[in-house]
Amino acid sequence: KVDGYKMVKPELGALPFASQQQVLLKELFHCLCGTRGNFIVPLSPDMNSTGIAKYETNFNIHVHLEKSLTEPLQDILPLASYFMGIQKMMAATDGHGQVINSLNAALQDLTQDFYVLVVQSEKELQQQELTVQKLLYYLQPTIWVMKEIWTTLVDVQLKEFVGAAVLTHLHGRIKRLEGDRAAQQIMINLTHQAAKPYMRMLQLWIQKGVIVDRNHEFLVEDNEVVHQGELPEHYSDDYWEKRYTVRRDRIPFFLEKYSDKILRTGKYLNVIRQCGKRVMPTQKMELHLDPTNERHVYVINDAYYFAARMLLDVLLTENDLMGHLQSVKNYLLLNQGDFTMQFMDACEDELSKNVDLVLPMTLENLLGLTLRLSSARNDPYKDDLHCELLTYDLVTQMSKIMNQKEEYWQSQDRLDLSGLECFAFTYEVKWPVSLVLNHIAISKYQMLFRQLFFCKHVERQLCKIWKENSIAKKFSAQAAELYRSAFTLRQRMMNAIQNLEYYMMIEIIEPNWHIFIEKMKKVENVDNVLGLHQDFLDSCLKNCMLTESSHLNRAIFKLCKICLKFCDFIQHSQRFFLDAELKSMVCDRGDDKMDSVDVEQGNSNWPQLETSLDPTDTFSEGVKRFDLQFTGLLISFLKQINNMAKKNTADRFMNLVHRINFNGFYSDQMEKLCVKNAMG
Amino acid sequence: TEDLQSEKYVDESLDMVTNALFSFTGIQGKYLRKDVITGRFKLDTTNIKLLTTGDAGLMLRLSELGYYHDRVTEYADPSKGYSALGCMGQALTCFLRKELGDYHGEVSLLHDQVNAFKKAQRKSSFSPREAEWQDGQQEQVTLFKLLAWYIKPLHRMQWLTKIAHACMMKKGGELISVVWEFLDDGNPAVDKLAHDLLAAMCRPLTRMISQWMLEGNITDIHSEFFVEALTDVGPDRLWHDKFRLRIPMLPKFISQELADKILRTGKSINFLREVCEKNDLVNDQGELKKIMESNAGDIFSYTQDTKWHAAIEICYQTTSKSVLDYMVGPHKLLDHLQCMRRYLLLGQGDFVSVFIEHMKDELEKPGTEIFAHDLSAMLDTSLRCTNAQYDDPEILNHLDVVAQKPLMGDKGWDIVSLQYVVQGPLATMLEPTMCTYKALFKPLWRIKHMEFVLSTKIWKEQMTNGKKLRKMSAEISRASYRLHLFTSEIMHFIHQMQYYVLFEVIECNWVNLQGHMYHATGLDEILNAHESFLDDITVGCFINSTADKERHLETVFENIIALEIWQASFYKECFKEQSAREELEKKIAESEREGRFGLTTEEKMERDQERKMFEQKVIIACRGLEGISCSYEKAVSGFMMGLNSSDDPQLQLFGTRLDFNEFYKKRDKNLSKPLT
Repeated sequence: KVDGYKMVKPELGALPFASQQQVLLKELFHCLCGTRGNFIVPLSPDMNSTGIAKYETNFNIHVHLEKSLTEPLQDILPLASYFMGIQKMMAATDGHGQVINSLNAALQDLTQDFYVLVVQSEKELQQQELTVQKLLYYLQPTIWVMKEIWTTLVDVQLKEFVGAAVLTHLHGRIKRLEGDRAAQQIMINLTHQAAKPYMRMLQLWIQKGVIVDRNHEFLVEDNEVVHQGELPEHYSDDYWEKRYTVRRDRIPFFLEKYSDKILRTGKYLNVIRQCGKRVMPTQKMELHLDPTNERHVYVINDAYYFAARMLLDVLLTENDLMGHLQSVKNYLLLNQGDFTMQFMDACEDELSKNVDLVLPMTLENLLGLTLRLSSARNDPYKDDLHCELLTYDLVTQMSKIMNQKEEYWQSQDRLDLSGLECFAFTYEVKWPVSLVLNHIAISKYQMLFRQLFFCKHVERQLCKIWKENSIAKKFSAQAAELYRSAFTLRQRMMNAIQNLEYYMMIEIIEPNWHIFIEKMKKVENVDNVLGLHQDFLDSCLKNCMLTESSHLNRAIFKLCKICLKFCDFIQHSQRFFLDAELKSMVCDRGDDKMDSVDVEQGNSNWPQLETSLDPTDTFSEGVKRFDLQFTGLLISFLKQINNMAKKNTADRFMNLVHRINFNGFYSDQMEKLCVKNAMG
Repeated sequence: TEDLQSEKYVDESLDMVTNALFSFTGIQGKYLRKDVITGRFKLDTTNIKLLTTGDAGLMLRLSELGYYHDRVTEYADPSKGYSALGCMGQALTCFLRKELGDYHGEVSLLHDQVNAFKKAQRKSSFSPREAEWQDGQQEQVTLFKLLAWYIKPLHRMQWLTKIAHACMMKKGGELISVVWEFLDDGNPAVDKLAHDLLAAMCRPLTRMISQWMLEGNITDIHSEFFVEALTDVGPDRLWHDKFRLRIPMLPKFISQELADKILRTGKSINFLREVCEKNDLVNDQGELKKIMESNAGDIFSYTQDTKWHAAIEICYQTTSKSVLDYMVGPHKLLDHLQCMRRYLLLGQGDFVSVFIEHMKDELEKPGTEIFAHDLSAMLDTSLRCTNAQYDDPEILNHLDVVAQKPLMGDKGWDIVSLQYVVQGPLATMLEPTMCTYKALFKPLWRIKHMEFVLSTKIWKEQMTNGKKLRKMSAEISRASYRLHLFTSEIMHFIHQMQYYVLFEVIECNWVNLQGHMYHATGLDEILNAHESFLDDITVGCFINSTADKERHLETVFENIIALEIWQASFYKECFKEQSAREELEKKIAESEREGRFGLTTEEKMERDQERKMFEQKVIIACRGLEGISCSYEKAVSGFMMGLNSSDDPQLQLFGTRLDFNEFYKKRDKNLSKPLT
């Protein structure tokens, strides 16, 4: 720093007015450029000042000066203050990110222009044609503009804006200066300059999918720790959701509306690149921000449509997404009937074991066999199908999803699960199809599969006893009478289960699938695909009563269980009554009473029956008990559906009620239950 | 007087301007002196009185440019020891010098303006009219004018100082990485500066790369290139060890993958030239060279899709293609691999069995009695009488049989092995895998040995002796029944084992490898595939496996040998007994003929004694067999346990197949434990 007192200090008051003015003007130039003079001395800044005052400088004017000179001086000095403030702020923010650096470069140009202005005025001074008033006249427009810049920058400084926030701020100032053309023009220039690096990053991202962002200013962030060209086999939905994210605080105002589009554009490009394709935009468009118009929006849109189209092509044509979806539907939604039946035939023994005894390898082998024997053998994706044994049954899975706090299901002993309850198919998907068929989607398919598979299993068991029961035709009429109640119950069970299946497969899954396929034909980008697929799955889940709000799936599960127990019961008693009836037909056609005794004995010989059956129950009592249990469960199930339908008419559950209760068989009992509920 | 005063004023002002101009190039003047310690300019205390406060401040401000100029000069002078090193450092120094030159030019232009003005001033004292005209032409250079001028150069000099400082004492890729960090500052001027500088510095690097990739030479006296050649490694290890990446010298903007490509291309060229003695490979070398060397700026572009990258890719692909063609074509790499698979990995079944058949006498001998020349004759015979004779004789020549130095107690089986001899370019490629083949041959050979023992010795003997010993079946039926059962159990095990290793492991992986070989675009792809093929087989053959599978297998094999020995001694005893009986009967018959009828009591006693002893021996033998089968079973169930608890589904499946009727599972509680 230069110490003032060492220098020559002409005695100002002694000079004539003209000379005084000369000296003063010279001093003023120094002051404007930010060097210390003798007569106009900047006051040392107040260390305690906060806010806007920190960037303001006040000056002390020599007392001996003429009043007529000092008055206009007071108007010019703020310019010096603004200028110094701007310089200070430029120095303070240097290196705070690309946007600020670029802005500072623009401000430096302004500084130079300002110096040139001073030089011109100085020239006039040398020719002794300059007065203070004249100088004020010259500087007036600059003062206004400088003031505007200064206040803008002070805001940036005080709120510690960096990156996008600076751009937003500058952009906002332009709007406010609509009336002041000169200042607005300057601001537009500044904004344009400051936005350049940002727009360059944006351009790289939406045209190449690359982020070059050392100072973390760009609105998209890459969250991947390691990304060295390796194929993302394991992350799919995670990849899609989490790899690239938008940082809300880094979006400039003018890109706010398009941030989602911008994110997706680059994301698409990256996926395309990871599929081993080169990304070459058809034409290269320069992206500049012109704050007065919206030209950049067109560029962003074009890039977006290009990327979306391309990725969709990659997914749909090159990776045959629809083929994979069809495959998944074939196997996991039991679309391919012959395959399902053959598989169940093959695996029934293995699956009816306890889950701990089931060998996954055996299942896998049987699956491979079935795939090659059934009509599925022409499916190119059949080898993607695998077996999986989960450690919980469907109801547990559902309640886990529903309510994580529900400890009851978790504490339940899992050893009593059969392989059937734990079984599910999985579908192995490769990148990039795994974007759509991600982990969540597959587990939704699995939930549907398990419900369908279980119902199918129950139906098969019922059918099996129907087949075996048909031998009763050979019985004598009186004997057959005895078993009628059991057979009626079986028929009702079959009716309920088959209708349930019909409802799920034909009324829910098929139409939804059809709608989904129709919509997929017109799809435009990958996010649409994801949305449609999710809608399809969700509506299937909801209408198949697998959503968290209802406990209907538990009711279905219980119904199925009852049916299975009934099947067991009939199968075990079958041996005895077959023996009895057929023998009695041969020996003595008239003796009916013997049968029931035999049956009773049969029951008592078989105490390990898992139901709550009292071993001393007679056959007909057992049947009656099953009948009561089943009817009770079914009625309450239907009732529940009725209640739901009243609340929400949009659901299609009602169809199921009409289907099962098609001839009003259960209506009376339902009403009775209603009345009972109303009473108690 | 006023004129005089103003003239004096003008002179003074010009004096100051000249001083400031001097300071721009680091020269001290009347008003400005350098501080000895910091190197910055300060006001001369003696002449300070002549200045006004404002002017003094202004001059001091201007002199800052001089300071940075001095710094840049310092960095640009290699003798000072602050500059960067190596060719790329040289490029930096040159760039700095050029910058300084331009800067000096601009300063001297200002000097000219001052001088012209002075001249005009002097003339003006003679004729005022001329002066007036001159004034219009010559503007006076003032400190303010300098102030307006100095902003840009100052900024540039500051950045040059900053960059040069960061680069101090660095070289090569490291240096370039440092400069690369200065890109994307945001300030357009800085961006341009850094970009230009980096492009200039990358020029030597691109030249090195192009030389390496097109000619295979490294000219790198400062060892700053990211590929390094080890001088003490001979051409035999050229492919695998001679060249490697020098990781610290790898610029940050060149990915590992790209660097590998570059390394491989040069390596291939060297390989072709030195090992295969083949030259001039890339056709349009000139074109590629031009692209590679003229687009130095592309090397650090954000995306790898520039002309330069494309040229690298083309060069890489053509070179690796030619190496591949050369190896697969004239050198029949694939045929050699095929041959090794056939003979070393026992893929050619008829050859292996004929070979063993021919050698079986040799193999049974103790190791010390085996001579290599006999063996190679036998190898030739077996090659000639099997399908192997239709193979390319050139390739079969590489096949050789060797006998290792025998240790104590080694039999022929233990020391004889097949080997493959590779020379020339093939050796460079395949030498490192040879020991793997050696290690693989051993267990395969051992299984073959076991099969041989089981089928041609144990089983055959059982069948032939069964008939012969029919008379004694009452005594030995228990033992021989157990023996038969045990033998078939072992046979099942060994056959399944062999099937698994030969078919599921080797054959499946081989098919996989073949796919890779036919679709490969570069030699390294084949070599890598081959290596992973060998790795998979090594794991599949239970070499160095975890869970002691190898140890259990070895126990199984030992038990088979033990069984063989046991059986031999068992039958020996049986035959002894039988012949003794026959002897006795003969004696009786003879005595009948002689009319003596009967034996002496002594003889009878002896005979009974022997008979009793034989019965005793059978019981002991039964116990011995039980012992063998017990330890065998333990080993097998240990092995099964290892299989079942492994994560590999293939191994689990193998376990299920070995135990297809749950024979072992029922015997061993551990095996039936649930896996989940």
